[in-house]
Amino acid sequence: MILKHKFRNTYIGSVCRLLVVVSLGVGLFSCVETVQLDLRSIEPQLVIEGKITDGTIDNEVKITLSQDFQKPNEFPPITTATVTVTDLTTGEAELLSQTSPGVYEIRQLKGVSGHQYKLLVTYNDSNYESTSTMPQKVPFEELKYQEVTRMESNIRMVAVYNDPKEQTNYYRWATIGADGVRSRAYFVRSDSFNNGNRIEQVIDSGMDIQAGDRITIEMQCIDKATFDYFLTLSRQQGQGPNSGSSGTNPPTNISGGALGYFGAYTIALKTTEIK
Amino acid sequence: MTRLFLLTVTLFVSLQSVSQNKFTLSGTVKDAKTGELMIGATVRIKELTNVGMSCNEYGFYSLTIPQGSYTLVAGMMGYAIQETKVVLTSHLKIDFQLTEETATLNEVVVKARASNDNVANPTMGFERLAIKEVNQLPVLLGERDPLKIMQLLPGIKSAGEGSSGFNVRGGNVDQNLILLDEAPVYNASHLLGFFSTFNADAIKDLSIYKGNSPAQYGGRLSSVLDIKMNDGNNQNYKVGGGIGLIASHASVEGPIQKGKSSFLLTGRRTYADAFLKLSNDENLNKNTLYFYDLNAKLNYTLSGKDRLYVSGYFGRDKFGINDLFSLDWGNATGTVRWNHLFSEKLFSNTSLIYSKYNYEVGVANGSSQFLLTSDIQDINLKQEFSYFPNPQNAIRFGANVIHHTLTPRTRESTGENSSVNTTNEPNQTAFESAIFASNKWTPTTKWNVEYGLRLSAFTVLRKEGMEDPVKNYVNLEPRASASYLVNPSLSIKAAYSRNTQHLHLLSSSNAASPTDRWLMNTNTIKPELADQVSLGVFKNLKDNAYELSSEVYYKAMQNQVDYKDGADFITTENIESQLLFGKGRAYGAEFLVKKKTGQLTGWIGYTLSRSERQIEGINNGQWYAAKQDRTHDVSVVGTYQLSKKWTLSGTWVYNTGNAVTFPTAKYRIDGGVAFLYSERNGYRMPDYHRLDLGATVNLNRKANRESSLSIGMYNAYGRPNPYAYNFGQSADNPEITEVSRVTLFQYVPYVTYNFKF
Repeated sequence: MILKHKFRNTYIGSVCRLLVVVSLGVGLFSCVETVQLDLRSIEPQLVIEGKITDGTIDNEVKITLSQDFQKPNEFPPITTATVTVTDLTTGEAELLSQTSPGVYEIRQLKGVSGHQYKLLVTYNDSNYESTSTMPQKVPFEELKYQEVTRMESNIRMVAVYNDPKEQTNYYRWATIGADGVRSRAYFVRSDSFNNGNRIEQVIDSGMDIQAGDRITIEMQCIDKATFDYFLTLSRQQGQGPNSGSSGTNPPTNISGGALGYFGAYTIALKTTEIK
Repeated sequence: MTRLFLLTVTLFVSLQSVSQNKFTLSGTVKDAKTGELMIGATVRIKELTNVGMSCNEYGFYSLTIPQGSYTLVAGMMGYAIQETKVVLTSHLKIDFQLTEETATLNEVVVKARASNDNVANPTMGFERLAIKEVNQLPVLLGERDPLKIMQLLPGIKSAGEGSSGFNVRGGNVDQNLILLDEAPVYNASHLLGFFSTFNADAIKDLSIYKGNSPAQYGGRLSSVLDIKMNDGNNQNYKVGGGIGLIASHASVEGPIQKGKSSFLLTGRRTYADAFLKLSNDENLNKNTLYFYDLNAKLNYTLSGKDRLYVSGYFGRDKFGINDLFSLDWGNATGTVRWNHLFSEKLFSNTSLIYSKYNYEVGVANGSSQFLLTSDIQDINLKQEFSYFPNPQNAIRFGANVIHHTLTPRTRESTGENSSVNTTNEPNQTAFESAIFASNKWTPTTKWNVEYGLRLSAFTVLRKEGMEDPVKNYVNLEPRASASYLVNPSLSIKAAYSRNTQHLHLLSSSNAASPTDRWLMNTNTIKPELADQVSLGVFKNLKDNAYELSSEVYYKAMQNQVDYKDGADFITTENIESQLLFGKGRAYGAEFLVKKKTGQLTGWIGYTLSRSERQIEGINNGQWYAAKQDRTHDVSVVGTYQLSKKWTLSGTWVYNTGNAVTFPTAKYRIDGGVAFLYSERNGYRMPDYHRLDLGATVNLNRKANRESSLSIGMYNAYGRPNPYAYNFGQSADNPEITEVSRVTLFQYVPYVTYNFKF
């Protein structure tokens, strides 16, 4: 049966799967197959991904170019950019040095909640700018897991935390698998439904989690621009009978015409073993 | 406003000359076997070439002519013609009961000659289908569905594979006013749109106006689909039913008082979920998936001058994944109508109409445990008069007031350890009111003109507990159409109409979802406006056996609503901040050849059209193709009566693919791959085509019983029409991206058994 993992996690997908199951009973058929579409080729676009955290990892700015859809996932790095990050709250500025092709590392500046940071990238005589304010850190209380049965049984990680009432909070949850590999799924939530409460967040990790795995969840407290960015990206990953027409591009907070985002966020990690 | 209305009515009436020696012939036309009133049956005076009319939606006619001796002729397609001699020296009431032509090929029967009404009448952009004409056409899974058949007419396009949603002349799906016995049905689809809410057992007749509706209709830009339920047999008790692959249906009807009053009750339920229950897989058999429909109607003849109709519809879809997720939606409508004859010339109908659509989404995932509910509810009072002063004029006037209540979305926390906060968005309420008058005027034998005016108002009322000012939108909507008969089988027609729309449906994706949001006008959201002009040529051949027609139209639309790229309808409190406004234009040419009599009946339709939008904030404010823009659209529909026993049928459709948005490039974000989408609707789906075949065998057709077996196949040559394209990383190789095509419904056979006795 052919509607495979593509449809997982979405309500429409579930309906489709159900339909297929029902259809089998009445001899109806539906199928998914890989096809070639004649997609246009465009001029490569500049992509900037800037991150500053309150931790020791991921403090870097990556600059790459976009690639045609049909080509392999190889994204040419930009090695000749000038990158500066400034803590606008303290006035401290840092000129970043390139540590590997297209990766410019932040070494001196430390992410502090409440501080506003500014990114400036100069490349080919063009300036690309953005700012982001690091949100308040919300403590990551506990990491659990549970079995969730939709069309099939899956183990899902569950993060427990107390959402602060005073402000609107935005979270991103990243899963790091047994082998240390980060999931490529984008999973974000805001507190618009549950502001100020104790929350048990079931996470769609986008990977198969088995008994015996050691799973790490990274909790990120992100700002609104980063949230909006990843929310749109997560919709690109959600599949459904949209014929591609709901496909939209995430709103970038970088001026100057580059793709990508610049985000200051806090991180907290918890690891647990699935028994 | 009242003064203006009175003035209009006076103006209409004063056009008529009063004559002393004229009398009125009036009455109703019914089906002899069932007692059903016959909408659109024609009544003519043989001796007066220019005198005749089509019965109104209650089967009523009224003709005022000079005294004398006449032959009154009543007829309708598929029924034997009836003639009555009258000596008219006073007002006369004459009712007709027409007998259905039996499906005999050799016997000579007095057939109702096909009339040239389609050529002569001034109505444009109009189609009427009697449910009997279309019941034998092949359909998906054998579920006879009037909305699917409707989509085979030129200018009306399916919103997607197997979808009951449709686009009329480039309009959006929410720009169709779908009326069931006058009650609006806000969501006419079941099960992801694969089935419509209209159970063929309960339906008598459908009419669609493609933007040129008469003045009594209003509230949507693109079309009015007016569906009438059967009244119920007032002669004999009948039980009918059908067993199909996914659903079964049953109906009971009969007289309450023979010949005078009757009832009808129909029901339908799918049993897809029964297959789930059969599954051994626990993950499957705890899921829910079904829908049902109930239709009921009563009609009472209170006196020679009064008739009362009560009708109702209730339908629901239930869908659930274990205890994790549930979605449940449906419509409820109710209509009470009172027909009263003030005189032979003045027919009145008073309607009280109720309609409600609501949905509930239940989620229980971690501490996310909540129920979302939303509903839209209407109460509508409508008064309409038809006045027939003389054979040259038929005047209609009236007024209606609708009270809308919209509960945008209520979120209720469920379960003890739910972390969700309960909220209650205040209800929005509004009055939508209108007065209207129109006249169907036949000044000479060559000219037929219908002109009318609708004055509509939409009054947004103060939200509960809020200080919003009351906002009032008033619009004048002129409507006019005319036909000129070059000869009895050839005419040229022209029409203009303006329509307004005050309720707007926001869909965040191509696939209509039951949770799509209805919005009403506010200070920011203005009424949608459309002006449509059309021109047509109508020609009948071979004694009206073949009908040829072609219409060209141009429609300009203002205040169109769309969503911003990446709009978030779920968590955003202020939905208006996610909207964009602009304009639209749609134009095209429609061609239709229809054969209505003989062993082979059916039609061929072709539409060449464009539908475009210009919205500030989308595609840099340039004109772009609307999703439903399809250059070519062809449909071929045929039914062949092979013998008394066997009927064969087939449909073939072909259309240019929808305009869609696909990715043109990709880029790396946080280890994953993000897609860079093209401009809105910058790509095309491949051409769509499909052949459906069906056969019906009458197993038993005695005077009072009938049963038949239908078999067929949807998409008989298995064209893999894409339902969706999904873009993602290859499951086998995460370093490449690929496109997968989802195809539904190839070679889908069906078998249904229907009976009535």
